[in-house]
Amino acid sequence: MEQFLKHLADNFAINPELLKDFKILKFGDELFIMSKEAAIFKELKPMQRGIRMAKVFKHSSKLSTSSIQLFGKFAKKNIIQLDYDEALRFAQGFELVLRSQPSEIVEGLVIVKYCEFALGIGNYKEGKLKSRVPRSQVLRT
Amino acid sequence: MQLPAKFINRYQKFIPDFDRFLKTLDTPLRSVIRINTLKGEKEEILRLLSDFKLEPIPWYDLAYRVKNNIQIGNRLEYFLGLIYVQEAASMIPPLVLDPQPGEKVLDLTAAPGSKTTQIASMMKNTGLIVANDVNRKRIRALLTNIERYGALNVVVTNKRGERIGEFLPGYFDRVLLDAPCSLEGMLRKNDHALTRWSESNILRSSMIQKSLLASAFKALKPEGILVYSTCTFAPEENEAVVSFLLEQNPNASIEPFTLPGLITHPALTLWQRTRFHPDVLKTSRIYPHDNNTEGFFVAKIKKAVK
Repeated sequence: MEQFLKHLADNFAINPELLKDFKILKFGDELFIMSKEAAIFKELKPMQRGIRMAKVFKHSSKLSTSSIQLFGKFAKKNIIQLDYDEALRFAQGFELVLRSQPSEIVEGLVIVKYCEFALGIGNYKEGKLKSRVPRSQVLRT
Repeated sequence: MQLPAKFINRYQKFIPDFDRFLKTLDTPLRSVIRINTLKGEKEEILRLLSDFKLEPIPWYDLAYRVKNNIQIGNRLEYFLGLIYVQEAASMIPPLVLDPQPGEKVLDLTAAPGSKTTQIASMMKNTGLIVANDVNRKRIRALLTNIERYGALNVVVTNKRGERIGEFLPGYFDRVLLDAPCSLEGMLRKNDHALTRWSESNILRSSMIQKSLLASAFKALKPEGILVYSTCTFAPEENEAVVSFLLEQNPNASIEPFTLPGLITHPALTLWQRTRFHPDVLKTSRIYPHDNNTEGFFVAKIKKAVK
């Protein structure tokens, strides 16, 4: 868990203190974030508690779109800001060629925003932004 | 809309202004959106909706009727989980339930999750909501909505609602039972309900509702609040169910409620030679032609300390 929070802090400057009111629990290879009361409820064989935060692999993790849409607003670095049309295409799952090169961005995973709202995670490389919104969640055209 | 003669015979006896009621059933409903404050501030979200022609819903300051034709499901605001398309009358049961931050709440028949996510928003993502549904297929929609709308205080369970009171007696501060019903109140949205409409179906629903309500009441803490609602007009599924609970449980009582701008009618005290518990009169009927909504029945029930 600490490793995951460190990943959020290192890559996006999300302060782990901002998540202190919630509990993050691991079920299988997935992390879920939930209220403290939801974390201690064990009766009735719960199917899910809170929302999916990330899928954890041996040396990395993949943040969920749902969790980024909630907590991405706390990010302070590696953010790409889009206009409405770009944001729409990103939500539809397309790759975008950005009109201007974002400054202070490390190539790789970035948090993509429209106005103050985080849309999800993208992969940024050489001026291109690839949407990582899962197929099941993309906006239908 | 071609209504069965039996349907008309039943309801013209007590639905006021019946001709206007029938006319309203033939008028399609405009979409209503609920602003999801778990994802952003109301004003921030409204700023994004500048091309929406919005009319406020008087009983809920986060709800608006959309007066122009917009494909909401294709919108970025929908993708972001900032708006939920939910009928204005369907927002009433959670408002009457009035859940408070930090409480333990049970939504006994929760899928697809419109009321669950509304409750999560009212509780500011604190405390606990147990969102139960017996139908696994419908639970998939519930899980999708919980993720999309960012409800962190929800635990999803898949049990028979009739058993939950037995598993967790006196556990919850508030319980919502928006019961499965014959869906007569939703005819404006979808007249599919008419294909399965029959008085025997109504009686079958009523039996299920009685056992669900008994379970919901058992799961409630003393001093707790239980809201029973349906989207149907059938007295067998409304007054008769609540009357059954009141007769079985002397520690149950009905609390009247009002919401700003909402026109309601008191429930029936007599139907087809059955006289209901007198407290049933304090429950509310909501008709489509009064509020330009679907039809609903809502009862606010309090559990006294024995």
